[in-house]
Amino acid sequence: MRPIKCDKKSDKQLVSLTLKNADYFECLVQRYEEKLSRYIRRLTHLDTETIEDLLQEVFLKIYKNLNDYNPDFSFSSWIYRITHNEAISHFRKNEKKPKTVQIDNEEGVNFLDILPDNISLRDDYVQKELAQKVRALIDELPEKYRAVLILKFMEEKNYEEISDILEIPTGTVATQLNRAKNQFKQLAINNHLHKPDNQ
Amino acid sequence: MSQLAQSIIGKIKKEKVKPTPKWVFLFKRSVIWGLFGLSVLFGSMAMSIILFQLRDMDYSVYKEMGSSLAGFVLLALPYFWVLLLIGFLALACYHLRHTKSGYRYNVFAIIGLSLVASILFGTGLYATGVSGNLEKAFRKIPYYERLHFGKRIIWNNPEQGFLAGTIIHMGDGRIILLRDLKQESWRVDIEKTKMRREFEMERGVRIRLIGTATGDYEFEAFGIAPWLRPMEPPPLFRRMELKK
Repeated sequence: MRPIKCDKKSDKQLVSLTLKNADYFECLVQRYEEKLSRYIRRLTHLDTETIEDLLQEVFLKIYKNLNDYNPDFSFSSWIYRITHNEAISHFRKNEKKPKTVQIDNEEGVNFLDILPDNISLRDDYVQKELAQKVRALIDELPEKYRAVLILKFMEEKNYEEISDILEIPTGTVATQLNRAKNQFKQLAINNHLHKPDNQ
Repeated sequence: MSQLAQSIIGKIKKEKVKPTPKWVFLFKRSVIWGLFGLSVLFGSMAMSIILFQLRDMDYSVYKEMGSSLAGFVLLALPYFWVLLLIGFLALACYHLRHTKSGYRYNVFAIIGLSLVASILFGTGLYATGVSGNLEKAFRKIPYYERLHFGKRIIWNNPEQGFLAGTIIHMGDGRIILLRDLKQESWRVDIEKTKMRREFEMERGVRIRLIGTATGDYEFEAFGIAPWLRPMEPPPLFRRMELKK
């Protein structure tokens, strides 16, 4: 069997190659497994083993639904959408509240952008501690606000991509993001992480 | 190859997993678009019957009732069909929202689009006479007329000079006996009556009358018309006839 070459091939090319030869699916799995695994973890805080099982189900679903992919849309948004839906439905089925787990430094730090100027990140320790607290606050937000904040500030998706992933109009993305930021700020104030804007 | 990729490709090969054929997705999409189309079609039918029934109202009586035109229209609106129109609009919006890129549109844009489609097609059905035929078919359904309760309220008001019912006896041509919408019998003097529309007056025909209640279950009629407006050529064809 000839080795599969993934480099320099676009997602769309890989989709059409996979439809002819399943081996090319390996390229798509390798390209996205880390990103999707991180996204599921950020969204649900499931343990590593469950995330791996879930990710396998997600990729099998993606493979089965490849003919449903519309090349006019971004492939990345399409598989994020499938992943999001699977993660949320798994999460709801198991009725688990997200639990805060040990996180990397960068995990909560991006959210600090929502709280400009008021927080000085003096050193790594403070930064990590803050990140932990911020991440815990994110978990207190309703699911739809949590998802939109994670996609914007951690996955660094733009409005159109978030719209395609969550299947909501871009106007609604903007509204939800605004509400999520306000709720987050309020939680931060209540937890003494942030001073009110007028102080 | 990563462990996950290896395990997935292994599973795909071992279990002979195949991507679902394209036609399955095309079929699903067509069903959703079809349901959207049907919802718009039924909504348009409801719209066309609303237009038909609104035209069927005798607008000359609203002043005699001492009502405003807006008040009269509110009372006369065929609420059953209005509710059906709203229901089909909601269904159309639901199906449009579930099309492949339906989520990209604002909910108000979706409602607006479905409403405009129903109004346009509904007006088309009304202008070409389809709504008249639909109404004719619906009138054969028992109790259908009772759904148009606004009209019954307007014409079940002898104290104000509005009476409707079925002729139970033709008498000598001057006095007729009528059973009103509450199943009460009335003695109606039609000597000074002007026919508001040409129609066959006979036993069993339902009519509406404008006049004065002169005593206990006695009524003097000045105007008389059939309960249901007779079917006329659709507006589009009437206009063409006028041009000739």
